[in-house]
Amino acid sequence: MKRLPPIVVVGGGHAGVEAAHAAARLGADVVLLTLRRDALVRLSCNPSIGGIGKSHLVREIDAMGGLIGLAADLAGIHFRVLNRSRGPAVRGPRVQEDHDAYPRAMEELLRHPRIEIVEAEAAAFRMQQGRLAGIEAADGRFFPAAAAVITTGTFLRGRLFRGEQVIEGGRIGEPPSLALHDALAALGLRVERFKTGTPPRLLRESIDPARFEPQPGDPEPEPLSFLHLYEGRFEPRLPQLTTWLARTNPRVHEIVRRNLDRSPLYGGKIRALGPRYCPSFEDKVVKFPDREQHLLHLEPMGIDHPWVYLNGFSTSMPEEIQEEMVRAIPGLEDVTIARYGYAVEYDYVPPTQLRRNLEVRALPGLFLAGQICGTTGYEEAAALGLVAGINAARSALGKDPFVPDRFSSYLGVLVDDLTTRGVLEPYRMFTSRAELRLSLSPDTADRRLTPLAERLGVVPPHRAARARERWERIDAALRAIERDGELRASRPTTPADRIRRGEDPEEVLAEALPDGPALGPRDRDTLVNLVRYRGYLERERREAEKLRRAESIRIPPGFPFEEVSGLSTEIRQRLAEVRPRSLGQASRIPGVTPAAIALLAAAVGQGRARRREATR
Amino acid sequence: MTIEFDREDTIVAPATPPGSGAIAVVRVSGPAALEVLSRVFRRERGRGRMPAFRPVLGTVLDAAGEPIDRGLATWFRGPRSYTGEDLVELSVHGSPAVVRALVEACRAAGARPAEPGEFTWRALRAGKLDLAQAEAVADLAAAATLPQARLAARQLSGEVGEALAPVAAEALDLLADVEAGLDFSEDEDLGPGGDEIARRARVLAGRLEELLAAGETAARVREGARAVLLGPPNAGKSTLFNALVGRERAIVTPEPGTTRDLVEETVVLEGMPVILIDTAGVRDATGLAEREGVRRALRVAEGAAVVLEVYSLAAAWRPEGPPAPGRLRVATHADVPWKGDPAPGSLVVSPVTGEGMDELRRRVAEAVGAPGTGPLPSVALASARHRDAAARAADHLREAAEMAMDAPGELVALPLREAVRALREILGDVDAERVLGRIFSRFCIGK
Repeated sequence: MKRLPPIVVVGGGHAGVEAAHAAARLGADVVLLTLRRDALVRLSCNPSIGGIGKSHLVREIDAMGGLIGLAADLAGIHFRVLNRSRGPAVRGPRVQEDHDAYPRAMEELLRHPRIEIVEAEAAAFRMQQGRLAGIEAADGRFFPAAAAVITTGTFLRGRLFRGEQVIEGGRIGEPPSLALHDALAALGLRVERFKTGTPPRLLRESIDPARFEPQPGDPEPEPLSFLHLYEGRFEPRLPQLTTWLARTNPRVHEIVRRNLDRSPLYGGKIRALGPRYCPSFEDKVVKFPDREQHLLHLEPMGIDHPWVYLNGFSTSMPEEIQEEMVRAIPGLEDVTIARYGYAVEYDYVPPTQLRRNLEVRALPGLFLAGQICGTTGYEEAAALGLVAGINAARSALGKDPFVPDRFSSYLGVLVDDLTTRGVLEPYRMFTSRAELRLSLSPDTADRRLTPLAERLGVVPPHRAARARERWERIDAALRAIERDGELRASRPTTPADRIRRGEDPEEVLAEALPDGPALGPRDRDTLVNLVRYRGYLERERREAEKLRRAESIRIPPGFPFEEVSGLSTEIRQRLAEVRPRSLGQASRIPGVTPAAIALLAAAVGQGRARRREATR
Repeated sequence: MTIEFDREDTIVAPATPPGSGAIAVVRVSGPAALEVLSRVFRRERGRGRMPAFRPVLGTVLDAAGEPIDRGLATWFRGPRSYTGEDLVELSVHGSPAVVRALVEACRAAGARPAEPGEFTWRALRAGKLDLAQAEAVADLAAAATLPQARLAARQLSGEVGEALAPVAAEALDLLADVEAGLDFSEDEDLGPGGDEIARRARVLAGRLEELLAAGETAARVREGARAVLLGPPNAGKSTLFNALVGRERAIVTPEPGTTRDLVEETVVLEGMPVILIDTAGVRDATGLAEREGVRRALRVAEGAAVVLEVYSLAAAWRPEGPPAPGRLRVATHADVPWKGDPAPGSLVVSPVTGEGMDELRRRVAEAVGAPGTGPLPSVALASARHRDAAARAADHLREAAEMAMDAPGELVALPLREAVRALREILGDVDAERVLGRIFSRFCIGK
């Protein structure tokens, strides 16, 4: 049998490595092109992985055999669970990373006999019979490809701003990627600009920690990866550090206000939109003028790293103003800035131009993942990398696309939001985006996704077996305390009922399962959640049924959205761009009204009738 | 919704309910509307091209080309018409025979009788109406009585949205606050406390419940009410029925058991459409058909707003005890010799002399909660669909209020999401992006 050309992955960030590794796990040969072999998987911004919404993605990527959760656990120097009191479906474990140990851990995990890493700048696509055939490098080399995944992050025509300074680059000290923009535009793709920013890094030795409120990690660190959760007890590899809280004051805000004209954001240099939930400090001051203080976090960047990340203080003011601003913060009067903050503007491809397998509609075989799809964040990038990598490999083998389902995973919410709704600002995951939040609790990610990943071939059988064993134990205990299937004429109270009525679950379980299946403390938590939430989960299940019904009304491929009469031009254009595959999907497109859906339903029904007619 | 309408042809249908009113309107819509008009209508004055958007007087013809009525024709040139297509409205005198003949003539001239709702559907398709308006039009078209038509007209003007929008906006705010506490807890202490959530949720539930209560009368007017005549055979139910309807609707004979199936007619009592239902007399019937009739009579009585318990003073049988709640006891045949006194609580009437009939109408109107002729109450939540959604939203808000003190935030968010979703069924689009938008506009979020 003729050997297929490899999958070519362009870019070595979170999206790139997950894509490369997922394709390799599926048996494809992979060539990973990166501008700098020694700068893989850098944490260019905040040195942490996880948190609310983001840890939800990490657990799902991990349940499908991805790398990010493992690397985060291995290089973690501070583990803390956010939202502990607000319920299991929104708790967000977060890990501060050692800035140097993290990429090393990733490189170790990335090592795979089928992955070859090459330094090259991708410059152009070569096509054959309407399908991608390979990638041309800027230096003239040609890389044949069965499929390719482009993950350029902030490097695509990246431009850095700090005060009056403008530097071409994807990240400080690294050149941008320029040629690919033209190649993408030549495919007829719309390319637009987003911006984001990063705060200054401070010299650790110039800070007196005693001036700040410490925020130590949890006494019992909770890992992100299921592989570590399955072990029961998790011991971090590296020593653990503390982070600190700092607060700004009106003096800091006044300095910002006085110098707004020198900010590229307010001076008019940057016109692209940035994320509302990760605003620059300039934005915070301007949009919330009444606030007397803003909360900041001082996060050490590693065990031996000389810098501290000033989380919450993203700015692109000129250097001397940044100096003034930072030193006005109580406790940082004598601080030395090791690297100044800056804003970055970069190209992205509005993701409604992608199919739901992340393939560029205009060029089969070409996939996009990461910030080029309009997202922000390592976790979002990694999630898209996983999905694109799986699909690149499947496309090369002529298999069906893999489209994660939004009603059973955050991966599905992410992909569907991007390709159906599009983005107006860099997209970040929030739990409020999931219709069925309680059902997508992160501790059930391995039940929802590992069996699917095994069928796809992206996790090995021994790993799938561990997930299965865990859930067999939990299900057995659940059956025992719910007494499912037992004939109960008088319906006596079950142990599960007692837990639901508020009795101490520890006591009830000890009594009900004296020599039952041994559950670790975390599995016991999952069990108790399933018991307590039974009624609510049932409500979500009914909602899911309703949503799925709309999803099951299919729109045929190639449906002429342009010809549906009665729709406004704007709605028609939105439909024609997104090309929804079901009425449910169409109803999620912004601006598409119920009346438009009714018309679409009619047109689809008519098309169906006409086809029936024709085949008669 | 039936969705496989053919869209290219020309359709015709009466636009006013049958048999109600002095003027009936017949509509023709589609590419051949003018051609159809030329075959069924002869202008009294003027020649050549039919003027658009102006009523023109003329003679209405039947399928054979014979004049059947004088009337007005108006041509609404597409797309400036209700359906967005060429549309002709013919106003004729309201006799059912004329309307039938005219529709038949239009059919002969090439128009297809429209499916129910097809005109509205075409209007929707042409982007002339949104769904809520379309629903209102459907109601307007089916409105049998004036109060119903008034209600439908108010809904058409968007009053539903005006009354509910502030409640929905505040529910969305509350949800956004709770969601902010879940998704952004690391930033500041954003989420409202349990007591605040409970208080705000209760206030909103209360406002929805007020709107529901105020809309209840309106809803009754909209739905109409059923009044069922029940009683032994030969008690004179059908005579009473015909007297209330004002014409010979039910067949009346001296034979017991004449009425075997249900006979229905709508009358308006003090502003309230009341569906009167005449039933088979209740007895141990011998015939199969009659037995079925008795069964139906008892069943329909179960769902009625009021049951008229009818018996004849000329017969010996009397109902026992006082009348049950929801029942009006009516002693009829007051004009013939009585066999004994009326049963307790009876209203004595005679359809022949008219004795007690006004009082009977008044009592029926009272029993079905007719609004009288005064101003209508709030129309905000008149449609059953809107009421159902608003009631669910209120329940969910109450549930959230109860949970707010003890349950974790993610659980409190569930009924709040359901409440917002229920309100969306009335008002349209509210999605995660809107919730996030509210959050970002009000809180400084982000590290």
